[in-house]
Amino acid sequence: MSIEIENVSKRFGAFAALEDVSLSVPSGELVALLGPSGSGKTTLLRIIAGLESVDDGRVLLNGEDASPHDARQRKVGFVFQHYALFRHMNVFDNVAFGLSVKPKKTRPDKEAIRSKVFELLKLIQMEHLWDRYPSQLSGGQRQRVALARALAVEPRVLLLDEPFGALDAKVRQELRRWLRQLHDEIHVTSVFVTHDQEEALEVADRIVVMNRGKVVQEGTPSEVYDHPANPFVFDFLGKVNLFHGRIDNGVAQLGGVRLPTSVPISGGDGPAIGYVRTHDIEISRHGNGIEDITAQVRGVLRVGPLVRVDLLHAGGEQLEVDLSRDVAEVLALQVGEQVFASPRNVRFFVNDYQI
Amino acid sequence: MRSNDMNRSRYPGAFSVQKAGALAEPLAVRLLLVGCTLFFLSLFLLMPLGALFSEALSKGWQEYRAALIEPDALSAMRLTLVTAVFCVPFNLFFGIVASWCTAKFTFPGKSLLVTLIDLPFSVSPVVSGLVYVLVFGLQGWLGPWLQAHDIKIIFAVPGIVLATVFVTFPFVARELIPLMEAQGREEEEAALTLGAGGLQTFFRVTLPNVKWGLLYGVILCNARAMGEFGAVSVVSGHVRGATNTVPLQVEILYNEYNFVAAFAVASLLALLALVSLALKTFTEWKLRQFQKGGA
Repeated sequence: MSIEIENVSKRFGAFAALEDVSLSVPSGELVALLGPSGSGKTTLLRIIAGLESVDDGRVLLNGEDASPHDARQRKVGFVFQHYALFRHMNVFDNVAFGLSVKPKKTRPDKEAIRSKVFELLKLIQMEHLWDRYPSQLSGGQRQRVALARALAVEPRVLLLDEPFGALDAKVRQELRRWLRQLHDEIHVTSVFVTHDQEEALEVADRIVVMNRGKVVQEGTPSEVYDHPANPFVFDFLGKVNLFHGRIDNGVAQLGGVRLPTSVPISGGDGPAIGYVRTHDIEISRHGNGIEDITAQVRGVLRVGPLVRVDLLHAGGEQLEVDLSRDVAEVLALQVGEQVFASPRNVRFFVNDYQI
Repeated sequence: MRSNDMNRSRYPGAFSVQKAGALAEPLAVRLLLVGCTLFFLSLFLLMPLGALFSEALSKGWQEYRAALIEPDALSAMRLTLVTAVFCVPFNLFFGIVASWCTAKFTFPGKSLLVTLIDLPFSVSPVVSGLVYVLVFGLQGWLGPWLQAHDIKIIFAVPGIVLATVFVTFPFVARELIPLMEAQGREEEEAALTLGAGGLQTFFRVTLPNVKWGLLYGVILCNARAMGEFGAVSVVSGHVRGATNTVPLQVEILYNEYNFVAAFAVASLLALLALVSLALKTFTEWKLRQFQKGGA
């Protein structure tokens, strides 16, 4: 079922949580709402669920205005960041809750509820833990129970609020892969909120980047990663280096360094900032032409599979470069030595308005 | 914070052992401290309790029993029970409503309401009683009207119930508000998105989550309702066999130098206190366990 958000605004006192937000989620997709804290993403999710009212605009579920329906009637599954499992019920009763509170006419009989619950417990691989209480489960297990509980009522839409936020890194990795697989199996339209760009890039079909109550960009993961619409998105999705300077006659002079302009410069002449991802800078000992920047190695640090190199370029600004281990080992950089840095895929934003 | 609590519950001994090791005092100091505590405990708690029962039984079981089944005493007990029977359910209901709306919703004047709930704790019981005399008494605001319609409140059972309700107002609410606030609204919201109605959510999610806190509040409320002296004393009028509750009966008997009877009746209150204490300890323990287990 599709979700349509039309010009939604929401204020909490003087704070504008959402400003004129429009968004459409096609049926069957898994969409990530990505943004820093305070960007309004959770508020938007709660508005879709009917847990929060709108000041302006409306929400359409399957093309139908949802405003006359409250959270109870919307048939959306909501998974809370801190699980919100019923602490006095065991796993079975938690998952069965949504079915057992149905009005008598539509409530399945005991046996049907039982088989439905065990079917879901099988899906989350927790059949053997059906009689445990939430306090006896690990964080990842609780989150899966919360998901099964939401799925039990066969929601038209599944909404997840920072579903993996409270879990440790390893469990988070596993669970998000599992969520992706689950979505491929059951294809329920899903929206999840996250502030973790890696999570959004890995799991989602589409990413909606939000900042300060507004949608700043939406698209597939590769669209938003490779073609950020503005400096904010560039900065938020992945690590970047900044070159401060000017654009004159289509040539970038940034911090005394001349930069290549592979992508057309938007916005004409004026003060500008160039953005380069940390993995889009090549380091060599011998320059290969006009596009090189001379720089001094200030530090070399191994971070897991990558090697992070800190450079100070001739313009006097710091550069951070991520090299793969192989490349780093061949180069064998020494602190203090002079090298050449050649940036690829530099993007310029002339009117820097965000950061 | 959550995981911390879990750790603590899993290894309850770990912390205290460490503490004892690091902060251990010399044996003499420890003995002195424990001795002091025991001395004061005996002097101010155990001795009076012992004195009470020994005085009550000083002329034997027969006298003790006779003092308790004497008609005035029985009437006092009946009145005390009636008061509690009206008072406790009312404050149970009020306490749940008040804590539900203050803990789960925001509205203007909320903090004022919370402060008002505490009022009976901060006002002297005598004043609480006098307020009712001023409102319902013969010279009070509603007095003439009440008399014209032949409704008796002051110096009658309704006045006693009203005064007791006022004094025991905060017990349940005070217990539930922090508990509900700590639990937040997420579980209720989850129930809502799963299709549960307001009543279903209340009876299946909210109430089970606070049941031990609620019971705890009810026990305290009941103990106070049965033992209240000041406010009731002002509005009761001390009519023997009619408007005397157990605490008032004790006072009257004592003033008449009828010590055996006074202490016999008082021993009932003491027993009530002991039972309340036991129940209170049990529910406290249950409550702590429940909170520890909270996900």
